[in-house]
Amino acid sequence: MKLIINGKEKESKSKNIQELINELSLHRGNIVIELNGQIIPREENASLKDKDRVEIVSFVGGG
Amino acid sequence: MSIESIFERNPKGVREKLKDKKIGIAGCGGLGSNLAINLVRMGADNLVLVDFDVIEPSNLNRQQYFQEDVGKPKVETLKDVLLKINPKSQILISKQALNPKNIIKTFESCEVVAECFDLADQKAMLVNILLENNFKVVAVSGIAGDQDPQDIKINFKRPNFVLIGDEKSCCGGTIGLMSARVSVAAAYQAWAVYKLLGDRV
Repeated sequence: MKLIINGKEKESKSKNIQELINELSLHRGNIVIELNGQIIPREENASLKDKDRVEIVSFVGGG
Repeated sequence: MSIESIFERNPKGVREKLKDKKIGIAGCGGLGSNLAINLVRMGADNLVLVDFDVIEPSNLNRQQYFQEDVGKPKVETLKDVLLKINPKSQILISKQALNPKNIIKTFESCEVVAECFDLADQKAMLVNILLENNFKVVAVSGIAGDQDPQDIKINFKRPNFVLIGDEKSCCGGTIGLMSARVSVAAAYQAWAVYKLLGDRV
């Protein structure tokens, strides 16, 4: 299926947010994820479907 | 001297928009100390400062503290600095580490909260919890290194969430933090806090 990740269309086999995090080699503890405009709490997972819009903000250290 | 004379040279309306607005600052290091000073100079007078740490010599490369402050708690020292600018400011200080259990209570009734932490996982933890609870948030990601600071951007991620930085320049190893870039990010944060105040989410 196709997902729109940070505005760019991407082919993905991930069935849910956790699988997508693994697919993208991200670390759940360092990111904020929004699915179709909704923040997904860190302890929750959510199913993905074709054309879903996913916004991912990655935090890096420094302040 | 009237306190309002501090703000005579401000653009019209800036002081008025910031006056009496409770603003949370999570972390009083490079970002937080510079941000707080910017905000008070702009007209903010009701801040909540949170930081568990004391000042170390290695903080003086970018944080608004002095030799005589080494060993003192950051929140108390920063409060003193802010009161030297505007003695009528309400500065609530909290010397504690923020965690998922105390974040909401700490920033209760703040109109905007600024994320000013150093570590990536702490930044993400704080921002996740604040956004899950519909706070207005100004956070920073990607300010390390010595490259051109024009790569530090102000990104409106959501109506209630502004992210400042290049989103990739990570601190660690030989890559450190320089005052010029940290100050730019903190100044951008101050502007973003001002921008988010009063705007509907």
